[in-house]
Amino acid sequence: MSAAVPIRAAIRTGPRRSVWRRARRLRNLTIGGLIVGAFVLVAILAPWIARHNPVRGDLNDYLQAPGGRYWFGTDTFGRDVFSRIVYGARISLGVGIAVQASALTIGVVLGLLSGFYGRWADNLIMRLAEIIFAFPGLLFAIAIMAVIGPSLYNVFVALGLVSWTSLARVVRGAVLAVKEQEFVEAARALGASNRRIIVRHLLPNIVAPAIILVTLGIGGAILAEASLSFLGLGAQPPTPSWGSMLTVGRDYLTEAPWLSIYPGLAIFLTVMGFNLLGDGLRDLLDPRMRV
Amino acid sequence: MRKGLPAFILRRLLLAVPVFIGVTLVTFVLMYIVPGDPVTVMVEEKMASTDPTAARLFREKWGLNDPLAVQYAKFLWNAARGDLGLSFRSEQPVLTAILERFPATAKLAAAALGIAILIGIPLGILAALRQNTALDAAAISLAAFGVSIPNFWLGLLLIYVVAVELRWLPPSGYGPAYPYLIMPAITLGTGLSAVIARLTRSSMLEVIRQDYVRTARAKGLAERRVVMTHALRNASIPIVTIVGVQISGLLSGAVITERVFSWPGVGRLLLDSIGARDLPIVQGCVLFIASVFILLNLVVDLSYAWLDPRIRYD
Repeated sequence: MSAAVPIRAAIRTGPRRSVWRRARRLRNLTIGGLIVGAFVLVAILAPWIARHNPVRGDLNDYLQAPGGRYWFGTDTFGRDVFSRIVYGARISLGVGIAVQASALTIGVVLGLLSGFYGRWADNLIMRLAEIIFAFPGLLFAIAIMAVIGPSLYNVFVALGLVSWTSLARVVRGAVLAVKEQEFVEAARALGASNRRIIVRHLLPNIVAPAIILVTLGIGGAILAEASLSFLGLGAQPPTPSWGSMLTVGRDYLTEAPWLSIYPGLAIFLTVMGFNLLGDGLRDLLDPRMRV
Repeated sequence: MRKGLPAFILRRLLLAVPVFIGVTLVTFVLMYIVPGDPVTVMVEEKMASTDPTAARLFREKWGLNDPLAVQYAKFLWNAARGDLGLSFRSEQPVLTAILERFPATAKLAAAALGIAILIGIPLGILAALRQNTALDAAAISLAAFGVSIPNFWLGLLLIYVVAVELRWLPPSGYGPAYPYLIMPAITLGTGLSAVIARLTRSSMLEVIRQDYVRTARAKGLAERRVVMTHALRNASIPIVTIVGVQISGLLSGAVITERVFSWPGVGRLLLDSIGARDLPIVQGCVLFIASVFILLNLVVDLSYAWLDPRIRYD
């Protein structure tokens, strides 16, 4: 009896099931996943969740305190803060995901080129990554925004330009580690093309670190967008961006603290959600960190 | 002086050259490929004139009619001699304008770094020494909060609670460290203190299981001495490294914190100049902050040798 149970448990617990079981025990993964999931739902269902128009308000309802018709109060144009935060989720998540998608594309392509072909391509790409990496990222984005002008699309361009470096490094490292191994040599001996070797043998090795970096990166990009918008360099009025809502909130801190409290809370929760999720995924996926 | 040190410093400073060139080139080139002419807009705003002659005279005066490569070469040559040009707006030398504002930023960043170290390191040590206790869990959660909280929001919350509601400190302004520096320094230092706490914890956990710590205990040293001298010093290299990496966050964060508290530093100068399209100042600020960043990182690298005498610079 005592010997039979563990054996049967082991049969039932395939590799997939053990990952699932481990995942449920990682508290940061669970909490992070729930927070991120909730905000994703809010973004998708925004038109159904929002109770008022996010960009058009009723000037008669100027700076209403939270409660009654307006859960989170109204702003200086009489717009519903709750609805603006709900629609703001689309902007934050949209920018975060778009920036990381472009970072992933640039990072994987340049990392593969760098690691696989080496020589001058490697030198050029890695020096470029070093230059960008050696400079405060947000400041670089501020400098770019100063020149190309404030807009949400430009935020995406500026953040995309500075966000690919760590992905490129990870991909390059993985390629270098795998390139000389026997199974790659065997594939080459069997006549596999470079393209096939990259797709079948190299990419699977970088999936885990890429997922972790991208998840953490989305949180970083959301924070960066909010920072730029707060400084007036990002989304422009009347776009309901959380960061630019705080810019107004700062000027009305005494009369209308809710203008600062709720949008900031939304940024904080979303960023923390992605951070916890990223940390949790690292605990789950990165074999070196496994306990 | 240690052997190989001057060569190491020289090599590091040379490595900074491509960074400078990259940063200046990006801002320079972007200025030219962007639709819309910043000069015309500036002239319109500054002289309230839409007369094309005004824009032409302005361009001639500032050498903006030269080919891009010539302008860029001039800029680099002058920058290398410490001349960052003149402000479009006030015609004050850019470097003078920046140096006037620098003490405020330096004070803010130093105070924030001090707070981050004073909170982060003890918190990390305590969490590591009491691993898997409630105290450890509290420290970990606190760090997770600190890493994720946007500093501009934290600043606004502090202003609201401490200045508006409790009336303990002034909401913003510049003056003596007490009372003006406290809230800005906490705002800027919190994120870094969380990062330091996390890293101190994991680094200490690794070190306190080492044989030399057991030896130190075995020979009867006081626990305090074991922790502070034998464990912490060996755990400190990753901590110093992360402080070096995070300096960039501290400098970017300073720009935002200065905006929140109307703190008259280089960051505020940068933002005001972006608003006024004063491009020489913008470029000067970016270059200046990059230099500070590179110098501080060099200091961090040099401190490794003091922390671990086995490290050689060659």
